[in-house]
Amino acid sequence: MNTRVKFSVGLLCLGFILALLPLSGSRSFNVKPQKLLSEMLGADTYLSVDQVAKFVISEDSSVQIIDLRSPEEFRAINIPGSINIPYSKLLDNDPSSILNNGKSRNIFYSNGDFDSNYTLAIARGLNMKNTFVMKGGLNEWFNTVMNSSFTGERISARENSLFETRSQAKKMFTALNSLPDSLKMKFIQSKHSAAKKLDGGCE
Amino acid sequence: MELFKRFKVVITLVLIVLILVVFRSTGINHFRNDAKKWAETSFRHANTIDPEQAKLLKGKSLIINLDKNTKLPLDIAGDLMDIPADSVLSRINIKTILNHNAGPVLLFSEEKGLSSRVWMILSQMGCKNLFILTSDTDNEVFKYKFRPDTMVN
Amino acid sequence: MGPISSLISIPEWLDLLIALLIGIGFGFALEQAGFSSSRKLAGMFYGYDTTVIKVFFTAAIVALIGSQLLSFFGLLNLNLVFVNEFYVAASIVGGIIMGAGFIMGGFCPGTGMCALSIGKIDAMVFFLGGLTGAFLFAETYPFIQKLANGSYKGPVKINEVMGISPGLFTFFLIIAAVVMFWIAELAEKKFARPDITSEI
Repeated sequence: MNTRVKFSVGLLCLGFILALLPLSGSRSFNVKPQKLLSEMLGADTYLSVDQVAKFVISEDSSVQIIDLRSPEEFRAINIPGSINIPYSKLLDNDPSSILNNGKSRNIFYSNGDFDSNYTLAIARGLNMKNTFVMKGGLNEWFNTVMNSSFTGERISARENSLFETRSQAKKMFTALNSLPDSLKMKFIQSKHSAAKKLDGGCE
Repeated sequence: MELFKRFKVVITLVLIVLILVVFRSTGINHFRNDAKKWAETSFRHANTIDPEQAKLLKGKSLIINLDKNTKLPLDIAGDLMDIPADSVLSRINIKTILNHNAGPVLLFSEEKGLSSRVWMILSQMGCKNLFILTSDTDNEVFKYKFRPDTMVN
Repeated sequence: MGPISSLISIPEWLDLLIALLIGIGFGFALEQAGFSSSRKLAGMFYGYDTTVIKVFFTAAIVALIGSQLLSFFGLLNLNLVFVNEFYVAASIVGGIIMGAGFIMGGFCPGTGMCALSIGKIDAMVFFLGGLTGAFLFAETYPFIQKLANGSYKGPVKINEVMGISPGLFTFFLIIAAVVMFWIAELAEKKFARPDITSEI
């Protein structure tokens, strides 16, 4: 039997095996489980609220802050400079177009800890290394930044610096979130960076 | 027999691929395809369980304490295992978790970030019926009220 | 080598060297298959020589099966593979122009380069024509921009549009390929040109 027939039969058999496999076009984790677990146990994946507040007041453009809550919650209040990707929609499109945008850090936050840490595990599982979590979420932001106060007679230099950062962050947060909705959304959209696409093809 | 001889190369190749595929499909130490599917219950926040709900499981659950050197602070009946997070993927532990069919597997840690990360990893490895045991089930609810500054325009 | 860098990280110079070696291998394979002969390529359209469709379709299917199996085994990250963006009108018009150019010139860009590398004069003229076409495209772009960018559908995959898994789509494609090869064999018998095929 000639080679072409054998080759065709071989291809058909392999195609049949492929047809039965649970392949999908969707994204799958592409790192080894043990490696991902080691990363997830590292303390360097967390950023404190104070660290994020510093990025906010310096308007550091190499940092992208990502709000994982619903669009309604985001419209109501959000951390200045953040963009909104609802956690439930994270994997509907390709997250790498947002997260591989040349930023040195992508910092996730939600109201608490669950959604942001799920997202971090997903992002690192998809091999997006420059991703971090703001520990405690927006609840911790409010507890630390918005409700910060100083008590006592003396303040150390470090405490003073922290207090200054929190004060400025609080002012920026209040200023942005006190704007009427239409103005707020315009301001946010003007800060939205364009998603980076894959390069390639015969263009 | 004659047909087998003529197609021996093709049959050999297809068998090799088939064996590799079967090994991969039945193997445990890798992530499954389709991350979205395995993360689905977390999108709906349907993967957390509080101690009261856990008590209703009447001891059928496997409770895993991910914290080192701390005991589970909750009084719930069920198979309890102390497995520190850094050894949850060892061969014996992962087999125990994936093969537990009597009821759900509950992950506990004082640190919610840790339990949620481990949940995602285990879920992506194909662990179904996996939950996070926490008394803070409204962790993702915003607990404050923001007062806008009306002087800003 | 983006998709494979999820497995090993290699320095850029090695990346480029591998790409060069693969390119040399590809050109060598094309030339050895006779694709630097314009009569062989044009034979696809006249029916007397259907090597083109057999070779390219087989290559595509082997790549498809190989990439999907490698992705299943976690050795290849298919999310890093570029998917062409689909502009409906531009694809249709561009396809017609490309097809007409193929049958008139007897080359497509890849095989033309292959023939050029062995010094064929018709390939040199073909390439000059191609460069002229590219120049005219650039110069007339403001007038054809609407056509070029119209009816944009994004980087779609056929299996996603059909709502089936990539594996099942591959199986259907293989069946289509085998049927097409069988029809191609029949066509070669019906439209045989021994005066041409004996020389190429």
